[in-house]
Amino acid sequence: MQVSQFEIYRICQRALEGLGAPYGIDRDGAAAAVWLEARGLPGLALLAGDLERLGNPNAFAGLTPRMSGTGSAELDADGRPAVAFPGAAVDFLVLLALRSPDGRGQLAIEHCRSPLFFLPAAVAVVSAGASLRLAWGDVAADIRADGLRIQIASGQPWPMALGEAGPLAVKLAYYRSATPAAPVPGLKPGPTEAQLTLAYDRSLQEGVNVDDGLWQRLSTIAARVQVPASEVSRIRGAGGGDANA
Amino acid sequence: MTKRTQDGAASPGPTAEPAAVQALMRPPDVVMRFARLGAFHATRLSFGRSLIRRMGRENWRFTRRLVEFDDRGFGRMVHEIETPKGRLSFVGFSNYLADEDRTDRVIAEKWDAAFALSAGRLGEAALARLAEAAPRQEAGRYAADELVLSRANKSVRLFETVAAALAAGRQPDLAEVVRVGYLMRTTAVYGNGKFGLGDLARLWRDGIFSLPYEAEMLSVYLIREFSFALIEHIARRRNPAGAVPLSVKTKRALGIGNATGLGMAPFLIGHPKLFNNWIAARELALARVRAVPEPMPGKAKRFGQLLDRAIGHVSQWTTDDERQAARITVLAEELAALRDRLQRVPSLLERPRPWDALIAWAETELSPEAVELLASLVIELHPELVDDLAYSTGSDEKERIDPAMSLAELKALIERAYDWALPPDYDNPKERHFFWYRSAEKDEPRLGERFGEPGAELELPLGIGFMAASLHRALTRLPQTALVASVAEFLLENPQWRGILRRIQSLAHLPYSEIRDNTLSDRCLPIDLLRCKLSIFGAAKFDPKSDRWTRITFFQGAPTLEELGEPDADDWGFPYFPP
Repeated sequence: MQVSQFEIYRICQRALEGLGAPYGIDRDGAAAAVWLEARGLPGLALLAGDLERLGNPNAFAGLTPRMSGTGSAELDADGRPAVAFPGAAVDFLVLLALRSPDGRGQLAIEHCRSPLFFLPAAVAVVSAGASLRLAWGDVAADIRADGLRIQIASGQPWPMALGEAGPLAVKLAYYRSATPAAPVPGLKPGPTEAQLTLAYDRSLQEGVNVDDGLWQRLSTIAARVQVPASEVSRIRGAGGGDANA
Repeated sequence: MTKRTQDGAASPGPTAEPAAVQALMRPPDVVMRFARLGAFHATRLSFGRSLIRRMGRENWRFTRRLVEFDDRGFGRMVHEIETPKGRLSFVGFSNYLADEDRTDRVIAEKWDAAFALSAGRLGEAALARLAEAAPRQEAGRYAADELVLSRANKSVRLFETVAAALAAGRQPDLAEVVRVGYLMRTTAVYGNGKFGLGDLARLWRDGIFSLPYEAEMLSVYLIREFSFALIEHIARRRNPAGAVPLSVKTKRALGIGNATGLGMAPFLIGHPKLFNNWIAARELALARVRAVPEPMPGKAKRFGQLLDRAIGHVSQWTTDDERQAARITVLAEELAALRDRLQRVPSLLERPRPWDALIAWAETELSPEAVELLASLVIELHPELVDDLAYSTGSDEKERIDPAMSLAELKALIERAYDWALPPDYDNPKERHFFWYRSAEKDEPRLGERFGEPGAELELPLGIGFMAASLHRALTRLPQTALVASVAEFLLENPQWRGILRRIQSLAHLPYSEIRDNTLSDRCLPIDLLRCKLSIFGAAKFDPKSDRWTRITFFQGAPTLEELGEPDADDWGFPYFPP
């Protein structure tokens, strides 16, 4: 079915809320999902694949970093999906860089599922003059205020390469000065910024095509945030009246 | 002046204003209160007003491309709209509706008429698809080319009366027309991607619309035109030889009704940057006029004319709601007394800063209804000072974390910018009386009583004061040594605070972004928030049906399509229709 970006945001926000994501985390995750889907990247499929884990009691619990040097820290996600903490991790990375004398912050995240969800959060925080590298498996994304370069292993369609679920080891590095990152040996150019922009424009023009079954799964979970209707709520909850009066 | 944001929207920038203007901005502790927001009136910056100006200025062309109604008035009608940035189409479908199926509630499933605004020209295939989907409204699916979806019911009080009069060859009784104010009443106007409609970003990208709710207000305006065409058709079919069309005078007296429930209140809380810009534009407009240093030729006379018209307007504002009726009575008395005073002492408006003196006097002597009406009138006096502010009402709505802020700084920020949130005793059940939630019934936003209704565990995060105070309390409980930690460290370990903390950091510098009252308390009257938002849209004749929903009128007094662009087309605020 064709859906709008608004609908993707809303269903993801509600599904995450329905799974127990706190206010703020649900919105981060939904914004990331719609950012990806609108650009032809597999946000919904990754989210759907993580629904069971996101239903675990500790899926949205806090994370305690281990400092591993000046400007460097490690997190163990313990199998948690990135959608549960994309903004928190990237904000922490920026803090590491701000505190580091050389302006460089590094964050290593172990056992993290669906790291593609870090990409939208990373794009959102990179300011003019800074740069951020996000890497996992055979993927490296270099983000600057004026552009995005993604590299993937050769021979794979890029939605598949970027949509690897893991768990995976993820490395994030933030540079307060935009040192051009060197290409990663062995990786080939992935989707270009122009391709992602084209996909975004197409999604605005035509809507986003989503899998019906996946949408239904998300809808079922999203419905958990609604309060069942009752006669009392109908009358007291929103007022009423005779439209013929 | 205004400053542009990244996405091209602009935000009012009081810091760029002269100090004399900045000093006259009313503080948020005065403006952002339930009672004050609930006394707002439309201004010339309201969305309906700015749309009418824009359509006239840019010479938008409207063509009735297709009119197909049967003898009973059921069928379809298509308008095409040529704008400098592209073409739009507006289709309306008129269908049979039994009286027992007619309800103002969102949970209704059938309506007298359904409408869609689309980009480009509507082909037969799209029309056929919309004919099937639009009458089902929320149950239908729409394409990205479709921008706005709406529906309306005929006014049972007026529609048949007017049709009968026209069919009999005469205009309807003007007093009755003015009293009801519309032939059709909308109950929802959807945009921004709902049910598959085009996303807001699509609207901005196409460039036809550039202001919030501009597409929705255009749809409402065209529903008014649809209602004119429909009733004239019905009258003609009843009496082909003798029926008369609506006179311009009658058309002017007819707007479009609207019934609005609780959904508008959560919107204001959920879109705080947008809300800030709406209020800031209004307050900045008022401050600019208040800062006019000397009386200007003709302005006192013009104010007198506007005041006279407003007095007439208020005399034609009726409601069965006791609270609002009492307020209207006081308002009428206060405006009449002001007119008498100005006639006795015309020099009151011939001193330095005349409009500042008037508003300052009103703030101490008059009811909030009267103060806010006078604010709207003085804003009307100086289009050249204020009209650019209509373009500052958009916002990107992005909120950002400042990761390096220390918890001590955050705590101080709450005490400075959210001081209004801290005093209530939230352990007192009265301060947490209500909870906002989404009903499973058509997703309707509702307000429950926390200690007497189920569902509070699914509460929407709309108790901003309570959440800010809770974060402050959590910070206060930390040892002093822990307050050196940064926000990013805190949020990594305490994700439950992410939403409210980001909100506080993002909004602290936006004075009009937060309602500075407790939206959970038993003192919260949602009708005040509805009134605020509707006034910004351009609504008038507020007719509350409870403290949770209201009827209003849009575009009563507005020029018709044929009158757009005429020299006085913009002069329709607070319309009065002499008998």
